[in-house]
Amino acid sequence: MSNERTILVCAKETPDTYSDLSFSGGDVQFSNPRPVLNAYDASALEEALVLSEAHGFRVHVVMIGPERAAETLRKALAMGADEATLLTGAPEGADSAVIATILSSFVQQFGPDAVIMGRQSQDTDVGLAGTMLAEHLGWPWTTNAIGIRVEENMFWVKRQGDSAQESISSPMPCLITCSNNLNDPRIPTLKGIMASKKKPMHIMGIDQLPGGESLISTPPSTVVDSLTPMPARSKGQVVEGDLETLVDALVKGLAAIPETGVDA
Amino acid sequence: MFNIHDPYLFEDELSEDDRMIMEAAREYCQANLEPRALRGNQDEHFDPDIPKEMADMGLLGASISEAYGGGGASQTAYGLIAREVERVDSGYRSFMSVQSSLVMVPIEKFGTEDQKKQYLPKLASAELIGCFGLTEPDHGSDPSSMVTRAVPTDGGWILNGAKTWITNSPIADIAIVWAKVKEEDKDVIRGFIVETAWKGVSTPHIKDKMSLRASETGELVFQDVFVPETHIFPEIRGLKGPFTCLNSARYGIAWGTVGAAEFCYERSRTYVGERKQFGHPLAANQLPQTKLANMLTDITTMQMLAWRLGQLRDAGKDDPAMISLAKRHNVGKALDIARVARDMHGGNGVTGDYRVIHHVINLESVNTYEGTYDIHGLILGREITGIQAFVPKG
Repeated sequence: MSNERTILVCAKETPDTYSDLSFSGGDVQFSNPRPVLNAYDASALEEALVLSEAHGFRVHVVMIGPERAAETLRKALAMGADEATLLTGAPEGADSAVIATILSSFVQQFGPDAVIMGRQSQDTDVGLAGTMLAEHLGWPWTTNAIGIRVEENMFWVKRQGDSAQESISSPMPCLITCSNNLNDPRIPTLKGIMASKKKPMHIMGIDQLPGGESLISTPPSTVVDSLTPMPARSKGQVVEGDLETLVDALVKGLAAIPETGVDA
Repeated sequence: MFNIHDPYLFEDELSEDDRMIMEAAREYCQANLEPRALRGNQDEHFDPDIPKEMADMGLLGASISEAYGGGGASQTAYGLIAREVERVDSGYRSFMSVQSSLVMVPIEKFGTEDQKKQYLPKLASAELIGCFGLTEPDHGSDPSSMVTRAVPTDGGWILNGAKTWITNSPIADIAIVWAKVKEEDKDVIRGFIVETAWKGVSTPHIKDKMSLRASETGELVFQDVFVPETHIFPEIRGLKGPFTCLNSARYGIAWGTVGAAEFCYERSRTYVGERKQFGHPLAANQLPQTKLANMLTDITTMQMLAWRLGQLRDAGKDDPAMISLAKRHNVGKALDIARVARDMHGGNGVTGDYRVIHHVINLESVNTYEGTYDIHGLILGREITGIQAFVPKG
C-alpha cells in the first residue's frame, strides 16, 4: 500500500425503497427488482470524493453482500472511487452487530485514515453499524454529519443536533456517519461508467479476513421475526351541527385520547 | 413476480455497462430534465444549459469512439439513453438525436481525420451544436429531388439552396448539409460541413410550432456560401450518406418512443388509481383496466423490438428495413398510447400539468419526421413484394 492517505467508505446495497412496495407471505417486495446504493452511503461517498479532490485522499469503498452486489458497488467506482472491495459470504440474517464485527476486521487489516459511511440504511433505518464499528476500533466517531472538512490532519464535522449544529474535531483515524442532507451525490457519467471497468474491484470471502472462521459463524444477536405493513390511518369522523354540538364533540374526542398519544 | 414496467424482464438481459448507463441517464433525466419539461413545452423554450449538462453526463455521441471524445458505448446504450430522454420530452430527445446521430455519426463515418479531430470532441462537449440539412420546402419524403446545389469554385464550392424543418438550426454552430453536385454530367448527392457563421448562411427560427416546442426548429438558407474543399466528405456519394445517419437516428426513435409510451402508461395508471368517480377509483372499472392492459401489451412489444434491434446493431447484423419496422411500429403505438392516456385523464388530460398531452402532440411530429409512418410502410412493402411503390404508376 502506498503512503497515500485513504478514506474508506462503507456502503450497503438496499432495495429501491422509492419504488412501490407490496407485502406477501411476511416479506416485502419492491416494484423495482434491482437493489440500489444506500442513499446515505452515496452521500458519504460523495463527501469522500469531494475531500479527495481537495486533499488527495484515495477513496476505497467496501460493501458486504452477495456477488451480485458487484454491480451496485461498481456504481461507486463509476462515481469516482478509486478501488472497491466486496466481502461475500455474510451469515444469514446478519444484524448490525455482525456487520460491524466483519467491517472491523476489514478496517483493521486495511488501515484507512478515516471511515465515512451513511448514518443508517434506507431500508431498515437501524443506524447502529457505524457506532458499533467505531467502538470495535476504539476510534473517535461523529454521527449525522451535514458538513465535513479536513484541516491539519484533523477532521472537522458539522453535526446536526436536535436544535443546534455542533462543530466537532476528530484526530485521524476517525469514523464519521453522514446525513443524507450532507450533499447531492453525483450521478455517474457515461465516461465514469466506462472507466469503472478498469478500476480494481476485489471480491473476497469474509472467511479470508482475520478471524474469518468465527466471523462467518457468529449468529446474529437479534432476529427480525416478521414484517408487516404500516398501520393505515384510522378513518376520521365528520361532525355536523351547531357550534355547541361541535365543541361538545371536540371535548369528548380529546378526552378519549390516551395521554400517551393517539396511536399508543 | 410480474413486473408491471418490464413484463418480460428485458432490463435483466442488458449488459452491466448498458444497465448502468440506462440508470444514470434515468437519474439525470428525472432529476434535471423532467422539472423543466412543463415550462419548456408550454413556453416554447429550450434551456440553453441542457446541451452542456447532457455533454457532462456523456449523453452526446454516446456510441462515438472515445478517441474523438465520444463515449464508446454500445448501440443498445445509445438507445437506452434515447428512451430516458424521450420519457421526459421528444423535443429533448430530438436535440440529442440530431447532435449524436445526424451530426456526429456522419463526421465519424464519412469525415476526414482532420474533420473528425476538428469537430467531434467539441460536439461531444457541446462546445459546438450541430444540425442536419436534408429536407427541403418542396422535397420531404423524396429527398433525391432536392434542389440545393453546390458548384465548384477555386479552393472549394459555392452552395445555394434552402432546407427546412431543421432541429437545432437556430442554435447550431455547424450544419451537415446534403446537396447536389455535378459529377461526369450526372447529379450526385454529397455531404458538406457548413459553419453557420459563414457569410451567406442564415438559420431562421420556425415560429408557432404546436409540437416539439421544447426544442428549436428552423430553416437553413444558403446564398452563395463558400465552402472550402476541406469541408466536403471526400468519399460518400448518393442518398446512402444521409440514410446512414437517418438509420441511426430512427433506431434511437424506436427506443425513445418506448420512454414516451411508458410515461403515458405510468401517468394513466397513477391517475385512475387516485381519481374517484361514483365512489370508487376509476381503476376499479373494466374499461380503464383493459386500456392499461392494452398499453402494457403494446409497450412490451415495443421494448422487445427496440431491445432486439439494439442487439442486432451491436452485432452488425441490422438491416434498414428492420429499423423501418421498429420506427414505424413503435412511434405508431406510442402515439396510440398517448392518445388513450390523454383520454383516460379526462379534462385534466388537456392541461400541461399532467404532461400526457405534450407527448400526444410531440409524437405527432415523431410519427412524421425521420421517414413518415407510411413511407416506412412502403419500405417494408418493397421488401415484402419486391416492387417499389414510392413512385406512383398512375
